[in-house]
Amino acid sequence: MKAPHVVRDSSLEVAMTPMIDVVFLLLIFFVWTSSFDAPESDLPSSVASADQPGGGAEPNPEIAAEAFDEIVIGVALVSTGVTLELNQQPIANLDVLKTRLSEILQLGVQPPVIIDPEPAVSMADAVAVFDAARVAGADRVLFAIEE
Amino acid sequence: MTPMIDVVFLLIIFFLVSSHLAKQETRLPVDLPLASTALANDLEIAPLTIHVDANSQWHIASREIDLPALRTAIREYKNSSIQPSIRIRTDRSVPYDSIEPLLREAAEVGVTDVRIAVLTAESR
Repeated sequence: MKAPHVVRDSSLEVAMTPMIDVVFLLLIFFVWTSSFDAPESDLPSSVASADQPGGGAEPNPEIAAEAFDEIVIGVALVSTGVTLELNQQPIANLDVLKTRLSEILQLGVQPPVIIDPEPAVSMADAVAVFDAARVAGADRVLFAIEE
Repeated sequence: MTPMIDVVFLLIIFFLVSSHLAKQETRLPVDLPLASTALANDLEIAPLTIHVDANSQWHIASREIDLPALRTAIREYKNSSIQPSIRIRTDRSVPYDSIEPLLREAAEVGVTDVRIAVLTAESR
């Protein structure tokens, strides 16, 4: 019987070409499949219509009892940017708004905060005010809609 | 054997990549508004995404829609969804009066979970 002929490659060199093939394939794979878009998040929102103040969000009866206490933030467009109003009182800027809101919320009430932007106000400004209310600690922030 | 495995691997990679690109096609590139607070991403819900481009045109699934079509789409979505939720991806330059009808329709149909897609500080 003929013994099987075994080829012995005594050299321990790593075969470069197949390794480069594989590495290039992996490189191409990861470059193509990676997404370079910034990850997006969601802001919870809801609407308060002129008819039902504070409506739209979760109908919690305890909170609904103090619905009269809602805070309305008006956002109006002027030539220099936007102006803010907290329950019809003018507010200088977003930082003042945050301070005022957190002072109110520190009293232990959690009134719905309604953002009422004028139709021409851009979403960037509307969302900035919305975000400021959330930073101040309001947990129910709503957008106003006209009926 | 080796050339066959090479070809099979290439085909696998090709199909993985092309399916990934097909998914990306449904994302309209818009400049989202910036915010510092946000919800954690909830993978349980399957929201209806409404895109609003810089020209204030509404899109659902890459199709331009008008108000009656929007109403039908939201109603159909609500009837077919267990936990209905609407996600608005809007350009930051869009005026509020283009977003207001979306919020109103959602509220009228009875979808109370409306989300606004934003970029947060960490993602910038």
